[in-house]
Amino acid sequence: MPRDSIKYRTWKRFSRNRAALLGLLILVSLAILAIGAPWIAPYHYAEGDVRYNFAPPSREHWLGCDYMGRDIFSRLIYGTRVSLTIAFVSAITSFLIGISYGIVSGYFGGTVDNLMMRFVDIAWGFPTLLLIILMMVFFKSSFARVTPGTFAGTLSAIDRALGGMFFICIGIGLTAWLMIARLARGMTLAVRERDFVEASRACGATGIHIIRKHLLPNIIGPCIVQVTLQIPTFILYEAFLSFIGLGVDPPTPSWGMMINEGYIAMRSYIHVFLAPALALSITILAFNFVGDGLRDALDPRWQR
Amino acid sequence: MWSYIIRRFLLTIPVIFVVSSVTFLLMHAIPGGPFSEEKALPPEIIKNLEKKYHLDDPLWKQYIDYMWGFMRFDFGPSITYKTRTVNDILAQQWPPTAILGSISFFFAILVGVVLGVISAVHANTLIDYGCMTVAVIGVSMPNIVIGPLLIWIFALNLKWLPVARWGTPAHVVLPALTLSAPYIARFARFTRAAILEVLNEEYVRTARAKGLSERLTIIRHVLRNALIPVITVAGPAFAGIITGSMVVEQIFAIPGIGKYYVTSVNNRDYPVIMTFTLIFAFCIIMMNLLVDILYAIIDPRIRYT
Amino acid sequence: MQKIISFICIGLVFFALSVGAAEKVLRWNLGTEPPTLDPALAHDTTSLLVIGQIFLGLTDYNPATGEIIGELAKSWQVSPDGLKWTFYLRDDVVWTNGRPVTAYDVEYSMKRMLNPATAATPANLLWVIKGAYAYNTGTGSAEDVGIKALSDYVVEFELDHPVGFFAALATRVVVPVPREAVEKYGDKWTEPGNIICNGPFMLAEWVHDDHLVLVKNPKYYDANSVHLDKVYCYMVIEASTALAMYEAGELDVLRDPPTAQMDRIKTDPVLSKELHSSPRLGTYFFGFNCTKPPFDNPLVRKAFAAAIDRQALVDYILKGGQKPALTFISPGVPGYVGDEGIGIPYDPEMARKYLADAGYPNGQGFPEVTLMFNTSELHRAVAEFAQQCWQKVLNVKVNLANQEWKVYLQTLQQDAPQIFRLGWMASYPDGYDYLKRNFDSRTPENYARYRNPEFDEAVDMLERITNPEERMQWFRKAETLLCQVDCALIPLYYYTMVELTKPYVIRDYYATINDVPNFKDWDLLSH
Repeated sequence: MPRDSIKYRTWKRFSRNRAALLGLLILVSLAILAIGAPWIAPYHYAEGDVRYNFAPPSREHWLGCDYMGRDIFSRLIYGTRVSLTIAFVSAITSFLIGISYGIVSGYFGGTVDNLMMRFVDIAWGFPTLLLIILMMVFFKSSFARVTPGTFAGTLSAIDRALGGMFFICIGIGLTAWLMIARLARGMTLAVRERDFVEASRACGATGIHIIRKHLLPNIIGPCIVQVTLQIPTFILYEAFLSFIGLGVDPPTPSWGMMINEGYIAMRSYIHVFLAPALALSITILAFNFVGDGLRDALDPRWQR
Repeated sequence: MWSYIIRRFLLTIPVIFVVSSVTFLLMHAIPGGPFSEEKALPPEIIKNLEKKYHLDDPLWKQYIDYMWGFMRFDFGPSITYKTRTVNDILAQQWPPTAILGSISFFFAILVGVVLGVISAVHANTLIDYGCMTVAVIGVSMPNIVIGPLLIWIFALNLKWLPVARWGTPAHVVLPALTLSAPYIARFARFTRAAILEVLNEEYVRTARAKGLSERLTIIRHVLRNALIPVITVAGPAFAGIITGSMVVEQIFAIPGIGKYYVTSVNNRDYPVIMTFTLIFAFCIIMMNLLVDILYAIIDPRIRYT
Repeated sequence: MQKIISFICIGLVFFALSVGAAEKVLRWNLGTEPPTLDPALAHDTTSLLVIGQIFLGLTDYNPATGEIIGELAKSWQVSPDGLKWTFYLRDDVVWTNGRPVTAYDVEYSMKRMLNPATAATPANLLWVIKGAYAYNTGTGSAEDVGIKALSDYVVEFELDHPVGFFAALATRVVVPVPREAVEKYGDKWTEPGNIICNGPFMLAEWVHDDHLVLVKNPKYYDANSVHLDKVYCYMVIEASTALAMYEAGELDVLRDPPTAQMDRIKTDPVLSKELHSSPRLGTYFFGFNCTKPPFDNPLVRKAFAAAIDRQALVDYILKGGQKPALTFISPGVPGYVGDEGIGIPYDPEMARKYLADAGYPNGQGFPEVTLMFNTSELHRAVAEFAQQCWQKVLNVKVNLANQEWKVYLQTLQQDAPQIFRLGWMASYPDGYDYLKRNFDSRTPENYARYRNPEFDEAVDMLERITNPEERMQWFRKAETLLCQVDCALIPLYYYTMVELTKPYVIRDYYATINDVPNFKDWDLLSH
């Protein structure tokens, strides 16, 4: 990596931020746990013996058992898959939709831009959580009984294969792209007027070429930062949805659902609540650190 | 200035329209009707019920009927609760949500700003790190974690505060803390960043060179400019507190609008769903409008088109 | 003079205090706000609980004996052809506004219930009356309906066809309403101040979504036997909050304590003594869609039924002392045959044999099947338990799916999954309700698509015959076909009511229709 490139300098600045490094470390560990869950976790997430329900932590079950006698530690590890998958898939969905929308709107400008941004303004007014709740109820109800082979049937099969995560990702992704779109559009408008773009156009470069070579590299950075800053919100949405029963299907372990189960049993068995609560908080904390670190590192002021 | 305000205000109309249509369509797209409660009802009886509540009218007619009523503040009957109209339910349920929401909101601003100022003034000391750590933790713990945790510590174990429900000032403490926690953190961080930025600006150094006391410097110059990020966060904070109230009211068994929202979706109580969604949306839109207006007032540079 | 006055005042204060102290107030938790208090519109247990205290029915179910007794009616007789039922009403029952309750009230209320504009929910129970179906579906008129008040205290019902248990039907649905209140106040006639009652209690206060208060009705015809002065009903939804209130002494009775707390309650020295399980008139079961392979083969159904260890389910998941069920109709309901050896008990050996005979030895080649249930903590736990059983005993994999209740009902109606979870609570005190509404091949609610002409014949006989011994024979036949020969369902357990009651409450624990407690029989010791 050339010593002078933006990437290198960004990384150097990022690594000086100890909190961000810690966050990154946590995230990498979580990713390892998520990928290696079947080998790392002592038990399968659905395996349990009802006779041991609510068992306190012991040598066989490091964090105890939940109400069905399943090992909490193993379910926590499998739970990383749910949280991380939803975080990344929602992030990617909203990023792709948002950046495309924003660039198109900013690049074409004029009436097109006006209309597209009006749409964003209007959609902005919708309370996100309410929309997600309505969408989740809709998804879960309609796609529950479809004939296999149709488009709806395929979507439903994908959802079931993923333990119920597919529709949550779509639901969250559909509501989160607005901010990215605004950002991308704002920056497109700014960059579009810069000299080097003018020069490029004078040389006869096509629109696509300009977008690829000039717009994208300048826009991608802050958009990625923005998306990273939004990820904690995605994880929170999923946790909340699972808490009220509109999330993943059982027995897929979601931290939000485990927190709900723990909350119900809280008076008698606090360990069932503490474990997933801590896991969720630490994960969100890590994402917050990393997001902040990225934003500080990419702060244009430093690049002067 | 005024044209700006009027333009922004006019924008709310299509927003309400879009919000209401999307909600209406989505709501009716959800399978299952409002009538099967504990046992399935015979189809003939369901037909009678649909006739009574005009659910057999074509969809567009139902929509127009509802919106026409909405504009006259007549929100229709509740399908689940046969003796009450949505107006009745609203009148009963909005006080707890409003009280809890406002207390949480102002508490978040107050504590957040104070925390931010303290951090900024003592920048890079232990106090600063301590405050910011607390702030980050506040942002990271979702209300489904903070709520039960607070209940467990303060209500179940220490028994200082009631576990749930509503009625006395003591009942407000834990839910308000839960709702405001993430926003205290956000207000603190933004305030601190803004103050630090301003503290280094030229005109502050000038004021200090002139011999102005530290306190006056801060109050006169710094705070006013630091208000902008506070207003920036105020908008999303307000929206977040409103939507967060859904979960918090459920955890603390508070008889407000939020708790009832999820129930009404599950019951397919269409008039209630429409009304609550529109009211939430309206509050958030108004708040955003207020934020934009305040922006324009405080910083004359920001009068964008 | 002043001394006399002060003495009188002190005396009055003491008198007031003692009267106040002696007032017996029962504090109960309704759980949720009752959707309605109109007998014609209510079909959920919360509303029916309150209605059961303030309104009287034509007949009543005596939970101690299981018999149908008269309430508004002193006696009744049936014509020889079984089509005309004549009820003779008491002449000492009055509404709280002083007017006597007459046969004209009954006629008015029943016709109102059948009026399609009312959209009454229990109206289908009245369709056995001549002309009722036509009127209710909008094709007939009120004059052609076979309900007539022959005089002030005699009302006659004319039926479409003989129905042996019409008196049992009447307990649930023939509940007259006060005409003057309904016509004057319309939808709001059940608000306190507008409402007129005739039962042991009347509605004094109703703060929606918060609480309601019932007070003793001094005009009730048997008011002397009612001990309680007031019933204060909270509306706390969260079971754990309600439990906290009970432990703090703010509630006198708690129904259904949260399962997660049951272990603690059972080992607590105070609470464990206040805990009580009593039977309810309902059955929890898994149904099979008998038209979907592999469950179109009765051997497969029997294998699945024999693989469930119901006792373990009760002991570890439910923890409520429920009674495992092998037949469908619950104990306490006429038609219960559960103690006679009918049904398929837990037997892993037999289960494996059934499955092998069906062509899937040791689960080999068994296709993937789905068990569906409606979203709830409890149903999820039971489903996961069954999933574990089938895996362990039969070595088959069963997928779980859940849907929210309303959607679930639609799914069942349109295309029931291979195995579905359901529960049935008796609508009125007769087993015919269970069989007809769930497994008769002509009923739309027969989600299992069970078709056996012998079973349908037994059901028809049960409708017409009045002789109890003969009916029991037919009940036995029906249940044997349903649960043993054809095994169209797996009855799991009979619902129980788990309750915590303070020791100073004097009450009964009888199972009642829709779990309506008879507060008029309860009492409170001073505490």
